[in-house]
Parts: sequence; structure tokens; C-alpha cells
Amino acid sequence: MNKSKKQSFFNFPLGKRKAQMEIIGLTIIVILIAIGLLFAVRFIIFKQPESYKKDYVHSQMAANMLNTLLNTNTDCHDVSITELLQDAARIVKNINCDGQTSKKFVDPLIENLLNSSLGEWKKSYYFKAEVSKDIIVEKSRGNCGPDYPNVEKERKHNFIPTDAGVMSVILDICS
Amino acid sequence: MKNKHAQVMMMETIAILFIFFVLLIIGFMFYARISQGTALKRIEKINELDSIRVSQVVSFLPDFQCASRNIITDNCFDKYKLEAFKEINDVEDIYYPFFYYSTININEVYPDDSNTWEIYNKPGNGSSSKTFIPISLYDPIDKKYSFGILEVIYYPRA
Repeated sequence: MNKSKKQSFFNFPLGKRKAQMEIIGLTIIVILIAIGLLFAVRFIIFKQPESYKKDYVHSQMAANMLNTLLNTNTDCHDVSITELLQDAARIVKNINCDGQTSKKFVDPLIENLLNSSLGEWKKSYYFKAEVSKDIIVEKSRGNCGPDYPNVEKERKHNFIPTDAGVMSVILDICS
Repeated sequence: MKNKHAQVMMMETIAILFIFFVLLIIGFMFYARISQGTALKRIEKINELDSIRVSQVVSFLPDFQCASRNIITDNCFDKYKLEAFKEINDVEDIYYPFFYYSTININEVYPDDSNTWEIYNKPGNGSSSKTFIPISLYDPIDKKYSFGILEVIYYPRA
């Protein structure tokens, strides 16, 4: 009668119960080691490598690019791109570049300079010059700009005084 | 019966020792692999920092920088200083402590894209890391700024 009764853990004699407890202990140790190894693999092997150069190049590129671009003297009466943008923001334009207005002259020039540098290095960018919501020049390449808010980017911001107010010039370089 | 039991016990001990050593070897291989990866990453990091250092040195070297009455313009290279630099002999020997194994060129992009200055040319072997920095090129006679690119190719190995 007693033999046919299903034996639970506590019904085993002390010697057998000890063996079962040992197995449970071993199982717990194995599980703990496996979890530890999983964490090690996750944090050591699959750790994203830090790139100092990428960060440095992006921050240098964005800052230098905008300063260099705005300082450059153009073929249009040797005036700088800053002066052309200032003139483009005026209601009555003063600068005439071989029959073209300053806005029509500076727009493709900025695009050309950005494409021959950032474009050549396969970098996505977004450039915008605006005075009180009036966009003077807006250029972009790749997945960069207000349509891509989640993209990591390096931003450089510059301000130029104009007759129409303060012009805000933005250059974003996206990774 | 007793002898048999001792033999079984010995076999058990040998099996445990065998498994222990197998686990030890696997663990050691895993550790060696991780150590190797870490060392490679450290070397890569040092190379990256060296490459940044060379780019920084070129950008801020007074031999090329634009300056007027001791006021230095950042991120600007004087075209006449660059022309004068071409005349220096043994540039690679003199500037080796600054630039190590690297190639440094400056290219004008706008308005005249044909202007190029080879500053330093001492290439090393193996892999290289390229850095491009947009710069202003200043003509102090005409007082005009051009758009240029500073190209630094750094070789970690001789």
C-alpha cells in the first residue's frame, strides 16, 4: 500500500534527499555561471568601439566648414559669401554678379562647395541660411535635415547681421 | 568488490579532472581571445589619437598660419607661407618629430582648383587613416580668402 504511494521530495530518506539537494545546487550554480557568461559576452564582446577620430573629425568639420565657407571670397567682385548672403537678405539688392542677383549667384556656389567637400567625403549634410523665417539658401544631401530628427548630427550655428535682421546660418553634418 | 569500488572511484576522479582541465582550457582560450581583442582596440585607439594629434599640429603650426600684427586667424593658412615652405630642403627630416609617417597636402577648391601644396611626404607601410579638414587659404597681397582642404594621411607603421 505504502510502496504504490507517489513519493515526494520530503518523503525520501535523508541520504537520497541530500543527493537531490546537491543536484539542485549544481543546477543553480550552472544557471548562475551561464547568466554571468551571457552578461560578459553582451558587455565585453559586443561592446561598440569608441571612435575618437570620428567625433573629432565631425566636430572639426562642421565648425571649420561653416567658418571657411562664409569667409571665402567669390568671383563676384571678390565679395565674401557672408556679404552675398547679407545682400540676398535685402529687399533691394545692391550686388550684381554678371547679370545675376546675389541670391542666384550664392545658391549654386554654396551647393558646389558643399558637394565638392562634404559630398566627396560621402557625408550627409544640411545647410540653411534664414532671416526671420525667410529662407535664403537651403541645401541638403542624404539623410540629414528637419525630416530626419532622430539622426545623430554635429551642428554649427552662425549669426550674420543683415538689414532685414539677424541671419541664422546652420550647418548639420550627420553620421 | 572493494577493489572494484576503488577503481570506479579512480575513474570518476580522472573523469572529473579531465572535464576540469577541458573547462580550464576553454576558459583560457576565451580569456586569450578577449585580451587579444582588447589589445587590438587599444592599439587602434592610440593610432586614432596619433592621427588626430598630427592633424592638430598641422592646423596650428605657426609656419603656415595666417597672422596679422601677431593676431592669429584660426583655421587659416597663408598662401605665401605655403609657397615659401616649398623651398625648404629636408622637410621630411626636420618635421619628422611633428608629423611622423604621414602625407600632408593642401588643395584649393575655390576659386582656383588647380593650386596644390605638398607639405610633407613620408609615407609608411600598411594601413593609413585619412583626415580632411576644410580650411581658408589667405592671400595677404590681394587680401582674399579661398576655400581649401587640408588632407592628412597618417600611417601608424614605418
